[in-house]
Amino acid sequence: MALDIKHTFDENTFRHSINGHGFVLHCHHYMSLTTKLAEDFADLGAVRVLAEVAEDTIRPVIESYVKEHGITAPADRLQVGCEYFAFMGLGTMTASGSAAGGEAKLPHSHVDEGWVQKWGKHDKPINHFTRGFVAAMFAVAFDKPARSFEAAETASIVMGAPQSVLSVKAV
Amino acid sequence: MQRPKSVIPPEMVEGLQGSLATTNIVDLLQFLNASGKTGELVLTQPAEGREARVYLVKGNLVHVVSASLAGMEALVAILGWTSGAFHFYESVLSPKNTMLLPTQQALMEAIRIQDERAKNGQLGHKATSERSSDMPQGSRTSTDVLEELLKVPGVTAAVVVGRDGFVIESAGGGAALSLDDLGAALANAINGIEEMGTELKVSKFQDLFVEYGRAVIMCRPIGDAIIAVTAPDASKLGIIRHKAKPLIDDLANFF
Amino acid sequence: MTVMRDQVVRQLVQVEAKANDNGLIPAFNVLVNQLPCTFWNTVAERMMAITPPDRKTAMETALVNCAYECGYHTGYGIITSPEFESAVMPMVTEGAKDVLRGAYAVFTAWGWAKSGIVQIKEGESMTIRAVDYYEADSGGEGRRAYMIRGVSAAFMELAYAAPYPNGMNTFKSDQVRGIEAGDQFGEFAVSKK
Repeated sequence: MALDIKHTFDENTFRHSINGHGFVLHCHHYMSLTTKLAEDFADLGAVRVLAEVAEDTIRPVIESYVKEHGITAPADRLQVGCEYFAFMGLGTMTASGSAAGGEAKLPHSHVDEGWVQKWGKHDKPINHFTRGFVAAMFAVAFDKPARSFEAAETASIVMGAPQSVLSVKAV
Repeated sequence: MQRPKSVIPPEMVEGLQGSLATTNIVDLLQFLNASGKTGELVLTQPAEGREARVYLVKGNLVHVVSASLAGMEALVAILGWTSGAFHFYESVLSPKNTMLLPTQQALMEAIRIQDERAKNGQLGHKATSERSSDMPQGSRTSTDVLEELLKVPGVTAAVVVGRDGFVIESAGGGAALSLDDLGAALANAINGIEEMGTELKVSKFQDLFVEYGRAVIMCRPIGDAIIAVTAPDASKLGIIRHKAKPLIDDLANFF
Repeated sequence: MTVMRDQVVRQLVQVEAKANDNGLIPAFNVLVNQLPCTFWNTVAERMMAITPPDRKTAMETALVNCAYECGYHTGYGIITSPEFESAVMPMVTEGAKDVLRGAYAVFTAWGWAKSGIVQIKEGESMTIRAVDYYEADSGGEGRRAYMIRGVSAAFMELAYAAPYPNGMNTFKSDQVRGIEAGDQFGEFAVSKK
């Protein structure tokens, strides 16, 4: 399945939209430093905030797409999430599961590879953003509200694994 | 010289006299020009012992005399008068014809010369410029100055554009005006004009006036940017230029 | 001649970031991502919201720094890219000042902020104005265009500090006005540290 992408540009504000959502380009430095910021302020709950923000802001993008295109099957909806993941430059992802949970595998990951390019390997997983992304995918796939799923990183590229793996559980 | 007082209706005499402290000379000449008046305008500054006479025929400036100065030099001199009195005597004919340019052009040229001399220190800037506001520069923003510029009679819009065409700020003009297009067009035009100046080995441009029928756009460099002032009635350009000058000078501090 | 931003915007506005087979977008010497503006705005908003008053300045500085480093590295990648070479460099006649004009034209074309230079004192300071920017939509209190702040300091360093990659931490950027704070436009003052 290839995503149906409609890129529009507002000649007055000069803002760009993808399928009706305002989008902006940034780089791995921005993402890596935002991840680092979350870790540096972990005592304030910033890691959880980063994951939740990803879930809350990615969800409308996937949700509006599957609704507009009449995509109802959970597997197809998960596939839309994976396609968006790649379209956004976040890497490649495969995902499968049920309303009880599932798994997402990332052979390539912008968050991981960006971190490695910037700082090298790390001693703990750093896919906080992706955990939120995956939670949003599953919530849309199974028509559940926000915070219905939680993703935990069980293998991590920044720690030396060949791919990052996120285990998803319904909560 | 004998003045034919008997032919001037008293009410007309009463109606065309006043104080230079409250009436700007350029305004006054613009009014007489627009009204198609023929006669003699007498300007006096008793405290300084100065007097000047300006003659018009059907609104056209034909002769200006002040002390030993005549023509354009005299006109430049009287533009700096901000005190004294004026009195217009209708139907008095001019003894000479010393003004070679049409009235509007003469006024613009006089203002240009006055500006030039102020820059070169030949005239005290204080004497020739009427600063628009006593507000200290520190608390005054470019937005404030642009708003003041819009209050100059005849000005409908003012736009500040970077050399690259970025519209830094604007006031007035209404929603119909495409500011981005205007900014791009102005920057491209100014670039072309400056390239021409370089080719001709003349210094950077100082003023640009573009007339579209009755409307006019006046452009001037301010710092590293350009201001464009639009006016729908080109006949008011002289007074607009005169009144806008101190504000535009202020704006140069911001860009 | 100087850089004409309308020409730059026209040429670069249609440039699209397309991911490779690995779902990555390598460009301008970095890995590019394209995310909803709401993600970046909401990160800033919620991070500030969870921060106690005594640590707000630290959080704000961190948010600015995220964009600052991004701006420094990506900015360098952009001004040395073939796209910049063809769209901007032919119009550069005033050196660093024109490169900055070009950089803000790109900044505008690619949707970060409709912004440009108000005043430059070469090598000393710069004032930037933004008449529209996605951070203006962010929630929270006060002026919060952290991204434009950070990137503006980075751009100034690329133009006037030691050559890349040794010019960091030379300039700082403050936001003096913000649409999100009720002003007509955003304004950013860049000066030496």
